[in-house]
Amino acid sequence: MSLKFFHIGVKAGDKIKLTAGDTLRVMVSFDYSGSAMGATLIGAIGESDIIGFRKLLLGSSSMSLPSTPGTIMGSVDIEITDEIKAGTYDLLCYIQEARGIPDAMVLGVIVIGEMEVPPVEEKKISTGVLAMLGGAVVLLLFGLTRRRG
Amino acid sequence: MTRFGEGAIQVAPPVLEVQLGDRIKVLVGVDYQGPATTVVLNVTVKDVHNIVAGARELSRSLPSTPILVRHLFYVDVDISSDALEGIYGIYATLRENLEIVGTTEVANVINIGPTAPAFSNLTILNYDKV
Repeated sequence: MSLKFFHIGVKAGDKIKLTAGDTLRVMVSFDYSGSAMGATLIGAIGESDIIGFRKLLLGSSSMSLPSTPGTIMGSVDIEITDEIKAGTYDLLCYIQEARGIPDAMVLGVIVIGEMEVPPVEEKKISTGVLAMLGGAVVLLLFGLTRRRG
Repeated sequence: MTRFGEGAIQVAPPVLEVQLGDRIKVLVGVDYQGPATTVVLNVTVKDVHNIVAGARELSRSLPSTPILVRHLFYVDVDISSDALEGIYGIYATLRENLEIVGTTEVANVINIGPTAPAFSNLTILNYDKV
């Protein structure tokens, strides 16, 4: 007997916060019957409206489908880049080769945040420069004082 | 005297196009003369290497007859979903008391083609930062 731990992640419908540089992995399942073939799973982050779904970020992954009918599990990674602005978006998945089945979509679950730039290092540098300048001034004054004396 | 005639398999059209998971109906003729007996008919779809469907056995009683009489039997054969695509033949054997008393075959009459892919129930299960 073997035990395995599965990483469940955020269940569909719950929000997840991401920033540029992150990668989102989306797990899907679907039923398939037919000949063995390759298929492409597409994942997209974007905005849906009455016209359709406007894809802003895309990811894809290749899958091998067996000839035995059954439920298939798949995953696709979507890289978050700075091409997308901060805000709340929808998540869409579809199979490129599938015809006539609805795409899988969850609305308003992707929250893209601003990249936080910590200014700590700059402060340290400026502090160091000021200290050096201060030291130089002290030395200069000390030198002038001794010359006069 | 017991006598089995030539076996016969009728196939229409000449090459039958099927897909994985289909069921085909095979009509087999048995000519028999002799006392009442029971025969077992076995029909398979195969090529020289693989049996892709069949091994279905049909047990039938043949009445006593002083002259050669043709009996027709329908046998349903399922094309298994894990069969390989390709051209196959139909083979039938007839046994009486475990002894093979007749065989017949027609080669290259079943074309197992690709099955149209069918997708359903696409669902997003979960997602996470990796």
